[in-house]
Amino acid sequence: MTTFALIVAGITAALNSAPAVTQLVLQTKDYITALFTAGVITAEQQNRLHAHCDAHMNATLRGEKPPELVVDPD
Amino acid sequence: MRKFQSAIDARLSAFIALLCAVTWLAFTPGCAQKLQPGGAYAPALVNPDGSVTPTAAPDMALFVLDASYDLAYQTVLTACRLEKQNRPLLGRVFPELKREMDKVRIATWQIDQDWAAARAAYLDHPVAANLTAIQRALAEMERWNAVATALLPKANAPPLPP
Repeated sequence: MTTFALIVAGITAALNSAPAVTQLVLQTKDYITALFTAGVITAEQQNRLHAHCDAHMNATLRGEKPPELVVDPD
Repeated sequence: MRKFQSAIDARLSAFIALLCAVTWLAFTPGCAQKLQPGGAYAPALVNPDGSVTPTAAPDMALFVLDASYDLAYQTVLTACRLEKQNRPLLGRVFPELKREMDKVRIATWQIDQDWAAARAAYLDHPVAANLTAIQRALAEMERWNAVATALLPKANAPPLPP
């Protein structure tokens, strides 16, 4: 593994030890795994990311704003 | 309160480090990684004998941009969600936090719309100029991601410009 990959692996290990593993952490793990898996990003990994980004893109184009980005009145 | 704040600090610092790692990879040419033919970023036909014939050039650039943008976007969403879910508590100690995070929300939504339009244009016409628009959206999203993640643990940061 490259030094860079070792650093990233260390960070993900630290994240995994946190008591509450959020969805973001799980997604991040998938990305890191995909980027450093034996030099080949599998068709399944590609399809998963592409479908996820397609869904996000289409929802945004339809004007669907996620609740996190809604500005509540003061 | 300090325990809560340091828990957020540690996790968000790790997220920022990961984001920097993925960003570095996104803009570093000649990555050793390859796209397996037959995936969405390396379309191919599977022949009757099981062999695979690529139908288009693999698009590693889009793969990395998609991964990088989604990571930056999800990180901003997480920061916004944390603020919303803990607003009463955080607001008592950091009264300006909601207003500052609302600036992040407005900017993020605009950038996301720009990204979606750029990505749709690229998928329709995969040329370098359309890829540049996605890269610009990514750079902006990462900028606001840094702002959002800095706001939460440092509520005494100077207010953002209007």
